[in-house]
Amino acid sequence: MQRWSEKSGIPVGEVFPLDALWRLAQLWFHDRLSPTWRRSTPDEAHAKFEQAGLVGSFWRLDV
Amino acid sequence: MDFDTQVRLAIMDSFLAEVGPSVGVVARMVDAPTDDVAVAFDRLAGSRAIVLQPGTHDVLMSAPFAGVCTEFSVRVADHWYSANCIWDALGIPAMLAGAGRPANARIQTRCADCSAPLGLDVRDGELTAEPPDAVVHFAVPAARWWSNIVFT
Repeated sequence: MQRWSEKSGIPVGEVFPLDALWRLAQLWFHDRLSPTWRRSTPDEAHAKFEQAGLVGSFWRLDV
Repeated sequence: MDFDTQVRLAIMDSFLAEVGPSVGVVARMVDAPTDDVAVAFDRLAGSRAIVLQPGTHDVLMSAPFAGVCTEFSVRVADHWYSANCIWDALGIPAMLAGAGRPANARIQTRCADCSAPLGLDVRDGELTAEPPDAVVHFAVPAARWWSNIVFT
């Protein structure tokens, strides 16, 4: 990760397992083809991040 | 169902059929004038339901779908889709499963560092990856995603 960061000049952000992203994808997209879908509010988004195990200031939308 | 929802779902159906969701295509799908559909595209972009190419009505993103070829290819049955990022690539089978549609998927991308191929399979709701120790990196904190949604 560090090697990529040095090569790209992009600071390392958040690194996490694919399983967590799969959980988040299911929470985030399961209803995307529903007529009742709407964008998550920040609180709803935070709850989904947390359910997927993604916690901390990186995942806050209100900072 | 309100008009903007019809238009949004037509955009998604168009992507699912591997047809570019131009204003004309969507207007035919919802049986409405192109001017009305173009305005609906603008409203959907304004509410961040879709992202348009600047100054056009070309759909750049209707998450999880990408309107352009990307490094994230997703195969479902005999369909190939382009996703905006690895999150969206996983979002395609997640979305299909949520709608009760066939959702087994093969995702092909590559390591951003060494360019080695990276393959992910979703089978019956279970994710496997090759190599199995692959990790995800998000460079930009969530609060800044919409500062430049193309780079997160």
